[in-house]
Amino acid sequence: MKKTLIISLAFWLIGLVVGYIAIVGPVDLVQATDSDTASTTVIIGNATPTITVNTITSPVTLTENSTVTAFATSTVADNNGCDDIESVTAVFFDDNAANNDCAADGQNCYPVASTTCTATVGSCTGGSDTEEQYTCSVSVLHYTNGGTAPDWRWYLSAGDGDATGTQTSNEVTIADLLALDVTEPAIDYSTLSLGATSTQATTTAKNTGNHNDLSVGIQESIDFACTLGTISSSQQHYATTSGFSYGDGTALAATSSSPTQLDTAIAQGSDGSTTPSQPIYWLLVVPNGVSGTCNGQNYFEAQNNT
Amino acid sequence: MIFTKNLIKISFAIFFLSFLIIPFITKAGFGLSPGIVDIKDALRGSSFEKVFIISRSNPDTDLLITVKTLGDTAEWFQFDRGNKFTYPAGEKQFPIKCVVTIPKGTPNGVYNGEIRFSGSPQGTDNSSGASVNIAMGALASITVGVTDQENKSFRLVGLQVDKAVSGEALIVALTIENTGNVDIQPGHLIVDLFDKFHKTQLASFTVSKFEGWAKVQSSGKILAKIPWIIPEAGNYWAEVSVFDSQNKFITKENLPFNATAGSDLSILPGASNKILYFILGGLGVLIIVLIIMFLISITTLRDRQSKELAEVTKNLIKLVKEKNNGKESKSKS
Repeated sequence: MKKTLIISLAFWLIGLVVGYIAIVGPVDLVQATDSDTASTTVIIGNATPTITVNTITSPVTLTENSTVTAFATSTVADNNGCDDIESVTAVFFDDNAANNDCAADGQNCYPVASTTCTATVGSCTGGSDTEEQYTCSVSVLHYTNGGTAPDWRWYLSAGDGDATGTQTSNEVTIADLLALDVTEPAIDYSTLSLGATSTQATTTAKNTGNHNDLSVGIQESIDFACTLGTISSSQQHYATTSGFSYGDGTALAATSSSPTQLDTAIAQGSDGSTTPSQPIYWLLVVPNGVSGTCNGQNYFEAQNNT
Repeated sequence: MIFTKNLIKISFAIFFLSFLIIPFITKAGFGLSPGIVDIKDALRGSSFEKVFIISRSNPDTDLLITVKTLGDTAEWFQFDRGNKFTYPAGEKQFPIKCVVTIPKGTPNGVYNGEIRFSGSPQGTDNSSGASVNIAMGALASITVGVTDQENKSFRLVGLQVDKAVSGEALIVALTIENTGNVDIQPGHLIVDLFDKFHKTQLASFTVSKFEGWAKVQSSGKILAKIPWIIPEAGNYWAEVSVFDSQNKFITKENLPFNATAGSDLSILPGASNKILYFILGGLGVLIIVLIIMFLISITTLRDRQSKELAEVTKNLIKLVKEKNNGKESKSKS
């Protein structure tokens, strides 16, 4: 009996030893292979990073008097390992009006600093991993050049401190934005008596889109109705010249007709501090047959310059 | 007395005819994109979608939008929201879809029209005073060229790896902009695959089956499944050449990508697959060895027990025999 137990234990011990060798042996072997160090010194040359544009926002649709964000995602590969990649920068530019080393210009050039080209968390795992994902973003202004044709491009640069790889993206379309704003919330004709001509009121139309030479159409959109009676739209006259005489202005188009285009167009914006604008001056003569308080609405329309 | 009466009359007249302008509380611009629509080579009898986006930098109130189509193309544009709808407060951009239908009998040629988008502020009260408020809108110019010839053309906007997992097929995603007049996919792709250093070619495939379409007047995401089973996780390069349906070369892109591990082995962070396979293999061997050892020891134990039992039985028989022999000799004596 005792002998039998000894033999069984011996078998189990042999099994455990064989199992241990089966598991640990190969692992040790792999680890040993991985951790072998050579006594010789090797200087590894620097590999230039390559950058590939993956996705771009196209078309970019602008927002009136505001900004929108456009993106470019890319993959940077560096054969020295992705840890070697130091930074990515970009230039978003209008290929018709600028080039990839342009200076910042709201109409046609947006240099993008490395601070707004960020690496995707976890996309570089270090060690032998050679690739890392980056996303560059830019706030595009409302007066940025646009149109129906794809004219814009991203120029991306990836650097590792010693060398820089670059790539230019496919074309991006920035759509045209037909937009205006009128600074004043209402036209103030002040207090008037029958037959009197108002003092000159002013409205200011601004080009808050990206059309060059924006036209403005004007008409009455809600009847100028008083407590008693209605003032005809043609009693309101307007002009783009200050100090105009009542008879020299343009009579406001009626609700039933189409807006009348102003004779002066408004230029495209070119810097963030000033929005191109056109003052429009107003005069009103109150006809007989009305009394009380009056409410109306005038309509300002952004139009293509034809 | 007469002077006083006249003064009162004049005062009343001025009072009743006065215009007291109370500033209107709504104040926001109005933007329309695109403001110029130029559709070239629209196929006679076809329908496609077009999206307009109205924008406001300061959308603090609801805005009632009225749409009016004008000119040759007036009947061709049908808006999914109808011709009167509300642009809600809080949204800087508000998309409006419309279906453009080119009537079957339209002769080839260029047609012009306009679409008026006019806004009228809502939720404001005009009843307490006199005012000439201001409303804004925009007028889009429409040009449509009509043809009876199909035009299959596109341009590549973006290319990326949609899915790269070891042990599975590589899936590439193309974003293409349809510049023709029928829904479109690429004709075929030639995909050459390289190692992580972009030096050694691993495989090459031609792919002509795709998932997804780019519809007329829009962009679309097209997926291509490359019949290459990614051997292991790591970095690779793909050179992708894109061709149209007439086998005309469109563009070529070099695409580095990273394939992730394809099994649950990745739950052990930082461990390479090689080591994991060794550990699992070793465990397998250990289990097999233990089972064999167990069976051998059981068999050996049984043999021993049988032998011992036989010996005990033999001894017992011998003992009984000896006892019986002792009894017989006693009775004889």
